[in-house]
Amino acid sequence: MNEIKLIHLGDQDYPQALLDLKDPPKQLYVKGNLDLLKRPLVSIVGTRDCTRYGLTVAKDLAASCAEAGFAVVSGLAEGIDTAAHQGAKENTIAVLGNGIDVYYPVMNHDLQEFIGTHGLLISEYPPDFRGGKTTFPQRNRIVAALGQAVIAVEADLHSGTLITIRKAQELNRDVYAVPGNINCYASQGTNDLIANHGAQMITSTDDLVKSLTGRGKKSKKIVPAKQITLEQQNILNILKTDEMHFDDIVLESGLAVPQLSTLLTNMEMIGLIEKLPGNYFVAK
Amino acid sequence: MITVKSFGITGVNGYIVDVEVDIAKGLPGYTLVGLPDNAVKEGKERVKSAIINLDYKFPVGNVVINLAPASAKKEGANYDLPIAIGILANTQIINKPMTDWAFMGELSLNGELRRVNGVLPALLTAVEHGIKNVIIPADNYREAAFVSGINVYTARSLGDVVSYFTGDMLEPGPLVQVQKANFDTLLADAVYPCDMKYVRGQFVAKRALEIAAAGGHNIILIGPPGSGKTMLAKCFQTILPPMTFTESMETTKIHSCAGLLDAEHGIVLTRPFRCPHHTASSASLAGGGKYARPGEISLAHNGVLFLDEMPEYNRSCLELLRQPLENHNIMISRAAATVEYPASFVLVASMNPCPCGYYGSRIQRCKCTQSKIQHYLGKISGPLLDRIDLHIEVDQVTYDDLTNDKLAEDSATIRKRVTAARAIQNQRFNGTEIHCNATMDAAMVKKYCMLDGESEKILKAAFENLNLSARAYTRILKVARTIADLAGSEKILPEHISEAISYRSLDRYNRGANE
Repeated sequence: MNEIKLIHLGDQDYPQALLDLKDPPKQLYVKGNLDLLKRPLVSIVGTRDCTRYGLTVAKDLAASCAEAGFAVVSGLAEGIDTAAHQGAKENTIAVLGNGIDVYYPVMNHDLQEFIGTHGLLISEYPPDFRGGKTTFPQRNRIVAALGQAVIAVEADLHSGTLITIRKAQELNRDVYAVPGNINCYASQGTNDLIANHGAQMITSTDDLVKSLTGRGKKSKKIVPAKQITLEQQNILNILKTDEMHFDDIVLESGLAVPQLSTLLTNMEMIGLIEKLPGNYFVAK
Repeated sequence: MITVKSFGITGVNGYIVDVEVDIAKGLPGYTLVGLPDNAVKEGKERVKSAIINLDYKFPVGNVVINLAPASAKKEGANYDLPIAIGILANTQIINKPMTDWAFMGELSLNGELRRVNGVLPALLTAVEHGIKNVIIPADNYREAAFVSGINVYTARSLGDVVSYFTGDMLEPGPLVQVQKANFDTLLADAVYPCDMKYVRGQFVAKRALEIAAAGGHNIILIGPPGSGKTMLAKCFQTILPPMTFTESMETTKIHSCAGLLDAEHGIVLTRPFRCPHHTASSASLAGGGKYARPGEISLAHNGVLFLDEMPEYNRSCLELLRQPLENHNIMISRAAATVEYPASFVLVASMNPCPCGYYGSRIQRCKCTQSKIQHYLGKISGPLLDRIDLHIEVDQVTYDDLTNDKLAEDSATIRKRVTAARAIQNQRFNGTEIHCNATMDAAMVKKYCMLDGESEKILKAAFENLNLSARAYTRILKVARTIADLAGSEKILPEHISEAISYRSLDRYNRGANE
């Protein structure tokens, strides 16, 4: 178990990036792998009220950044933050708006513990500080300052994420945003960043890594081809365009319910498709 | 002193009550003793008016009525008739021996007989105690039509009864002897209020309900408002196998005590469907009250208990279901009595996936935070969830489904398959106390749910890849057993396991939050 350490402004370990802030934190409580601070950092931010699209993208982006040697910074909130931390595995830094010994949000208890052991937890507040209305927005300035680039995955037009992004722009950080469905509330803020506020648009994970590192991604991992039966291929064709409800797949495929249940469960287990809440299925 | 026999009820079982009537000399008085409740006590005034209105003389003297055994609390108005008979016998208006006779019935002031509760358990008690003849109100006719080994007569009024006893008693005369009815013919005519063929779409939910019916598995339907959870649940009773005579008698006894039988049928022919509102109190669900009455879960005996919007129920109400779900009965202890009610039912529950109802829906955006959703799901405790084998997610039916002219399978067809699967189970559990796969204990699961290597592999993979919780294991095996029975397969095949796995969505919900 790691101990909580205290770093003061001016210490050797103090992240230099924070000095760009007008009001850099006077001290930082940290717990975990301090070496992560020496790596190039990318911040991934987004709304708590996100969609499945946002979760997937945040996870993927975090994973590729981690693979490219970055450590991923985020705020351990629900939604996009959580997905980003999960995607980066141990290469992640969580900046808290409360003390390190306080588990918030409760649903991220295990994740916070994991990051405290394998990643790095940072807070400018004393360990048992419970956090308040102002401390979480305050923490956002650290998230914005730490990363050499800041990525907004999903945000609606009133999201606090946009404040973090504005802060990052003031600090001359590279700002990226993930485009999304123009009808989807969760993408309106990010689309707006791209259209009107000079954010760079992320069109693929490779694209991002290339832009961050200045070089292309190494050769893609070769995924061994899975043995796909005719039946399974048939289902994959049906699911090609969109996620579908079980009942609709029944109608499309003409299979009986028991057979289809069996087939879908098997396909899910070998990772061909994913089951979503509400008995919807989507091809992976 | 004259003794007339009648009946009392504790729980759902009857006992003999001796109604003793004595008229002593002295100052005129009229007393009723023997732990009567208010309805019984007031009966003496009804009796007095009825006797006077029939133009008989009400005795002058100290009339004392005792209901023995004196220690048991007597409830209800069914002692009116025996009390009246006792008084009339004391005044020599009736002078036939009455040791072979028993009576029950409520009197109106002009002497007419009104229907009473608990006739079936009372008649069964009479048979046990060797009573040969019983007189009951005419409105209770149908309830008596299935009790053999006893002569049951119905009467319209006190006058009928008196004229029978003052006559030669060879012909029933004004009384009507109850004819035995054939259970099977009545059963064939039983009508259900709804049918599966009117439920459009919802393929997976229907399939799951079929499995639930075939194996007696408890099931929970999860879906947004308006997705048809309630309609599906209502149709569930129509695909359960037809009631057997024993089941019908058990359920009728309970409904008889609760006064829920209608005069037309008299016995319960269709499996009961009980849907208590979520504001229901523990006592109304479990049974109880001052002197204990069967609750909703007992009224659902041999049928379906439907809890709509399950997380909205009181936690204490939900937790009390645990014992009956395990033991199929419930013990109610009150100051006045301790009674045991049977409560063997299939639990059908429904819930929204989150407080606003739209989590996972494609139609409306969910406004709930993850922590809110967790809190909502947490209202159903683990131990209770443990007893629910099938979790089904339903979504709103699309317009295409609604306008599709093709009618779906009707309940009778599904019921046939269910009955066939139950027959296999009856054979399997022959000689044991259980009747269906859902109630198998650990040893039986081990014995009857053997998996071959392939199935074992699938189940293992499911636990590794699909975030299933450990409690799902036995549930999946039992459900797979039922699926195999429906398919007429002696062994559980890989496809049966796979299908069973797909009905465990709530396990994954709970775990999925932290993913």
